[in-house]
Amino acid sequence: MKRGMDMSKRIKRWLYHSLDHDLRPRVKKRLDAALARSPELRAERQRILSQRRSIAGIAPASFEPLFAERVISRIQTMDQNIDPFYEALKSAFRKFAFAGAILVILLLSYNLVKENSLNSEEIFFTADTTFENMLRLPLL
Amino acid sequence: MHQNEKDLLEEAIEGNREALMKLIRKHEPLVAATVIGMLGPGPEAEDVGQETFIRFYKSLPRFRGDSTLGTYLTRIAINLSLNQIKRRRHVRARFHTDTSDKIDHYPDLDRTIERNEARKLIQNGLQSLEPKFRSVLVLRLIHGFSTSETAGILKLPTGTVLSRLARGQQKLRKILEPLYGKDLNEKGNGHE
Repeated sequence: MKRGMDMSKRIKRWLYHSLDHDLRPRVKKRLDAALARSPELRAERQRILSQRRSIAGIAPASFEPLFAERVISRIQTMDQNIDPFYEALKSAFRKFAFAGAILVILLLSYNLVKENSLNSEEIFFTADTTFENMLRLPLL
Repeated sequence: MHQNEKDLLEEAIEGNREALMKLIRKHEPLVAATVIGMLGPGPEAEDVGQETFIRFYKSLPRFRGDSTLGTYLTRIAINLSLNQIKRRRHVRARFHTDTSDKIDHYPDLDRTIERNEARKLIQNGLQSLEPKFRSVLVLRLIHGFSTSETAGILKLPTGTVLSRLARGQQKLRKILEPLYGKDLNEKGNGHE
């Protein structure tokens, strides 16, 4: 009984897959045989095909009229609002941030190799930094 | 890539707005089908559609043409739609409104189901599916991308696409059948 149900599930899965992908010849042969045997399976195939046509038919061809003009207008506004100085600053900062990240990784690796530890206090030379020391520092 | 499209791309990269406009007009149906299929019709879909082309515009200098422009735009549109769905859920959860993605309004069952109405129902049914099923149905069945192209766009194995396609169709049928019977599809597809 269970085996029969598993078989029917499998055939149904093949049926769906056959509409989107080439089945292996052996599987295709079994599906074709099942389709030839069963009118219910053929009806099921028709229902699936019909539903697929329905889904394919719902696509609207476009957005509201003048869509391209609206996009271009947004692009123009966007371009006008770009400050060249800010953009240059942003790109320079990106380089600094990248270089900083590389430096931290190198220091971490160095620390790991030399001291066998990943102590951030040693990397950033803050091992002796206490609140009192920080307050005292400018007075020295 | 089509020579004319290649020329248009080069001109658009050089800053020719007319060429960019032509490219947008050419690919608008493709993006509309993806975004409206994913989000349903409305201002939200229009916004995501515009954003798709703006992202494309920003990435123009880096566009290498590894994939066709259509596939490239579809990938952007799908990703932006999926982000929008996440954002929508987040907003719903935040304001404690009904979080279900299920159809919340059914037209009067006694009315004759016209083709447009059936389309709307299928659209609503599609919207009620989980995004992972919705995206494969939109790409494969609405766009007509092959299974492997769909897999490429969604960065999924082909087997996963196949099983999501099958399960998505079964789920959609379960949603629609109890409401309108098995002949709904025939009414909606224009082949009656």
